[in-house]
Amino acid sequence: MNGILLIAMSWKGSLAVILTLVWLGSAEAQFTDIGGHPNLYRIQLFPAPDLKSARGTVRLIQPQSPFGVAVSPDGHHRYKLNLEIENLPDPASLGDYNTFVAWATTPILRPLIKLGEVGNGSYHGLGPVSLNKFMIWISAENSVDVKERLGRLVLRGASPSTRLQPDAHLMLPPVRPSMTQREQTHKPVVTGAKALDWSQPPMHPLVSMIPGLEELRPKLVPFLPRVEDEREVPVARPRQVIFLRDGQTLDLQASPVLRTIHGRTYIMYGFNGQYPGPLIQVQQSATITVNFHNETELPTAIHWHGIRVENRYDGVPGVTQAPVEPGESFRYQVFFRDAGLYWYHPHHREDIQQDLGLYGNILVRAPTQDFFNEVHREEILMLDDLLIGNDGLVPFGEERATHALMGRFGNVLLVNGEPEYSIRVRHGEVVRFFLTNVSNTRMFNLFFDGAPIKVVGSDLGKFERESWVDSVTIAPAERYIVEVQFAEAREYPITNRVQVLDHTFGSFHPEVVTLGQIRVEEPKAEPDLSVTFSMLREHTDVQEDIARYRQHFGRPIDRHLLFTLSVKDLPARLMQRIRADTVYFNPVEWGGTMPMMNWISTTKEVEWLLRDETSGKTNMDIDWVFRLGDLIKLRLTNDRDAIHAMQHPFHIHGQRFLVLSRNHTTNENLVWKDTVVVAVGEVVDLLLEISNPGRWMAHCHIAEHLETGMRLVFEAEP
Amino acid sequence: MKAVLYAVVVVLAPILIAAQSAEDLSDAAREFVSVDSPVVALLGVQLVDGTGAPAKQDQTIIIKDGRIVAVGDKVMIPGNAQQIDLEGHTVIPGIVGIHNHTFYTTSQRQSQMNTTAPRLYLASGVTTIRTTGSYSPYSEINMKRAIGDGEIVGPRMHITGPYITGKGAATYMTQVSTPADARRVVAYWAEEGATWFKAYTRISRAEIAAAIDEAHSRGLKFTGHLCSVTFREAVDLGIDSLEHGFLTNTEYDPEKKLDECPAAFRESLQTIDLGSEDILATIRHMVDNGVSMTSTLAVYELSVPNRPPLEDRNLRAMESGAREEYLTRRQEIVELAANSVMKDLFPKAQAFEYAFYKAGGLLAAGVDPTGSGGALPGFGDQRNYELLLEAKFTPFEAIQIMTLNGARVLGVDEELGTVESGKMADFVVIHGDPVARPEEIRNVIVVFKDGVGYDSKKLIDSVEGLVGLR
Repeated sequence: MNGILLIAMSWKGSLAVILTLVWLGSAEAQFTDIGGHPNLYRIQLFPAPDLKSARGTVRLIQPQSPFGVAVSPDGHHRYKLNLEIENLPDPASLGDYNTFVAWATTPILRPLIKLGEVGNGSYHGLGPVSLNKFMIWISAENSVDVKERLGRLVLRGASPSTRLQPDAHLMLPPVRPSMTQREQTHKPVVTGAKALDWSQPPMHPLVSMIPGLEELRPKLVPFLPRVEDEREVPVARPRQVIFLRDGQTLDLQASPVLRTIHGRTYIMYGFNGQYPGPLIQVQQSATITVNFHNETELPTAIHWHGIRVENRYDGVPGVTQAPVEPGESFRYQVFFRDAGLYWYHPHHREDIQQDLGLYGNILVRAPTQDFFNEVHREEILMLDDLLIGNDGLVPFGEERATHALMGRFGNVLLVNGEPEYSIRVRHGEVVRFFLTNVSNTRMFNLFFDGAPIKVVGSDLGKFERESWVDSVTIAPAERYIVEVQFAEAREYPITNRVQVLDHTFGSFHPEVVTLGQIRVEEPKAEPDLSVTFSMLREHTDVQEDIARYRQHFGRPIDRHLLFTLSVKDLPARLMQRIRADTVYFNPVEWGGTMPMMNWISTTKEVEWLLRDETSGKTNMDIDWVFRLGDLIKLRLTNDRDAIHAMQHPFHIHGQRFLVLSRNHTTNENLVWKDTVVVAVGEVVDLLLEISNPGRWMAHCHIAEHLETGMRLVFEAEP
Repeated sequence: MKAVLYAVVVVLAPILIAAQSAEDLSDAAREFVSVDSPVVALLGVQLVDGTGAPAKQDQTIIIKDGRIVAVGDKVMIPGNAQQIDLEGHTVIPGIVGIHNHTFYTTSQRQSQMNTTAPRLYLASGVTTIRTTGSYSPYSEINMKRAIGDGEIVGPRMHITGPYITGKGAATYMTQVSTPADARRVVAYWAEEGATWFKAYTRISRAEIAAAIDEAHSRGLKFTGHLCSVTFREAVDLGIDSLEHGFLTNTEYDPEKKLDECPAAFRESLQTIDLGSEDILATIRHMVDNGVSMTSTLAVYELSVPNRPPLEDRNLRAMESGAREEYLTRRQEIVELAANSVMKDLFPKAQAFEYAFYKAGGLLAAGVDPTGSGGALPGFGDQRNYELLLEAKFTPFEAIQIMTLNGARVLGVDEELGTVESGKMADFVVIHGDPVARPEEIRNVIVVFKDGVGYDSKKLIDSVEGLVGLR
């Protein structure tokens, strides 16, 4: 036991991993039903040497969050702490003490967070703590009122993130290529057509390049859109809003467009020559016809994300239709069963087509007048990122996708296709933002510079009740509807604030990127909506709808999917790095800090897996059959022990589901969803309503993960 | 006379360091024990006693209950003693390694060596270490306790807290940004059991001053691998020891700004004349203020093209990946030889150490098992011996630097550091004569710590293929 204690306490090095896992193995039984992978969501407390029998465990619990993943406005993961402590002696036996106090602090011991008085027993909901790397202390004190730790330590432990350590120090030459955004401006237009060669993705500005990977390239033919005559490619226009009534028809064409971003022009794709694609506004229960025509050089199809359409119009080549070849057309009939915010995008080589601009929103209005609160304006924002290097857009893989490990993180963040979103509002305005994340892989954490944010709805309508948040966390393909009041006459920058990892040096770095500006101007907005805004509404309509399903929440697990990974034939140097990184995975990979390693991994070497834990079958071999009306309890576990673990936004076509719990903590505010993000090591339970017959796909919505095969098809029999 | 000394020692012993007997060891630890009699007589050895005195021939050493009770050519052998005939062997004091981390690096990895470090140190005759910058302080705290409790075998440990430095350094170091941070970090790790602290290259004068003061107020000591603070500045701020010597002194760089680590200060080291007043002033300032210095030649030799011997035993001990990384880096250094500054700087560093010692400075040594990974715990300490001889020290001075001087730095020279009657029985039995043939310092047969003899070969065999892994 002592040998293991010695190692586990260190949380360092490869042996630490091996032995820690051994050691956790023995404790596993005790915690299996409590939730979350112990390697990521548990801290073992170790006694001071003279108190050998004292012990403690801290569990890291994600607080309730409408976004599932709970982070601070700066992007630190936020945890409540549950403590179990035993065998502490009488504090008086240790000196002039009468109690014990729990603390959290960082490696430089600042800030020091007092968690509260503790003793032998269980303590729930201490904290929250939102620090990158931290320690937990239990000290003996002579007063519960101490502000700082004055007494002696009795137990202490370190957060899983402290296992992150640099690989080497003295000999590692830091390489910082200076491919910054500034230096990229004023380069000639990239035609993308002739003699295309691989250009290296730019290094993340906050981290150092891993030496030894410089010469590696994806083993693929590079691809960027090819046109015969660039002069004939239209310049893309900002999107139009199209109001459609039941029975009306929309002509939609995908074709090459010219887009200018930060002064440089690229050939990309657009729907109807627009960026994003047209914003379609319809009434609930309407049916529209969409005549789609493909003028790109790639086969494609349109998927109506989140909409419970008739199966044959779901737009999944190979499952619900044949691909729409270049020059060909397809007619969709789209029935809008649910009010809410949806989007449409290709479901074929999404990694290229969606990334190059083929996406648009659909806002489905409810018939009721007071479906939403009164606000001064609505803004419908599509959040995206684009990967631009010195030579222009970093090419895609022609035969198959690059960036198969982590998905293609862009380095230029876009709101509605623009790098600098800006609006002017009146003083005191309340704005309802409809947010859709259309990036290939990036999760955003949007901060409105301190303006209060009320969360109203998500994928298929509204939450059971509104709630306040400090920032909006949104995974690819998810939607959130939030209301924000701008109460001060000033500029409110909208920023994406996350903590990214430098894997070489084992450090966290705050990454703050400004997406746009809200300029608040006098005079005051009329009418004054402050009172309405200050109140949180109970959505009784939603509550009544969901209440009908509650009796099924406790049913046993019907299906269990594990998200994991298989890799083969990657360069040895890369495998070495990948293995080294297994020591710790952040619950969410917030940024593309390993661009080289990610870039050269293609879908040939990397296979992300959905594994049915009952049959052992994976991906397209899974053959689930359900009946219309079934309610399926589906458990999703994101394998912490995968050789590279990261979050997966899991999307189920044609149906809707409720997120019942995360790491076995019950979700107390439900909303109908079609996409749910599962963090590393997390266990998420869903209640899936089989409400729409047909053959439907379910998959990870990281475009490159989907391309590696991380998808299944299930049958919903009528 | 001998009787009087003996009596004094018996009285002092319980107050000072209590000896650990073989009976205190766990079964796993006892696997490595080759001599465990309470009374042992080692006969016929060549003794280099660590005081700097020349070797003495045909010596007998008597150990009783963990202490040396008699040394000489005419000592009475107790009737109950286990007698070991060691003709053709040399005994030196247990090595006191003053820059002896418990972690290891190559150009590609950094790993805490909870298994291999304590065994390799002991196997090589290193019976006391100062860790001089912890990668994983809690690992060291637990390792020290486990050694003390007899659960595992290893050297006596003087734990240095985590590296204390400023912003921008590697993150296993504690990066402070105010003097208050520095004090808090020292206070915390002092409470946890660190007895030394080490500042690193990006600390400011204000921060190091606060950290030194906090350590001193607790009766603890402070060293540094410096850059942002110069040697003389650190001496003025009360530092007790300076690591690495010449190669880390930035005070000769004309571009040096206060509190900043200059990028290219090694150019100034290339140009400066070792006889210059500047150099002499540094040495004088350190000697006058009683500041010791640690020689770490074995790790610096790794950066000198075509220098370090490629030893089979090193390669055997390394995990296969670590071996590959070391050999690759070694080759890269050879390929970059034309641009290497280390060819010139390395002999200068040796000469600086010699000058410091001759000026009355307290010079100790340690392996520093980092860099490209070729200086292994213990093995690199032995290599230091050869490199110190190359620096013109006599074998007896070199052994003194590696043993008694280390004990002096740690303030334990009353008990350790020499092979003299009354001291703890920490010494190394070497087959052959490292005075005549320096390379024979590698031929360690038995290492005595607390009078218990450990089988060097068994210890080395037990870590084969594990360095770099655990």
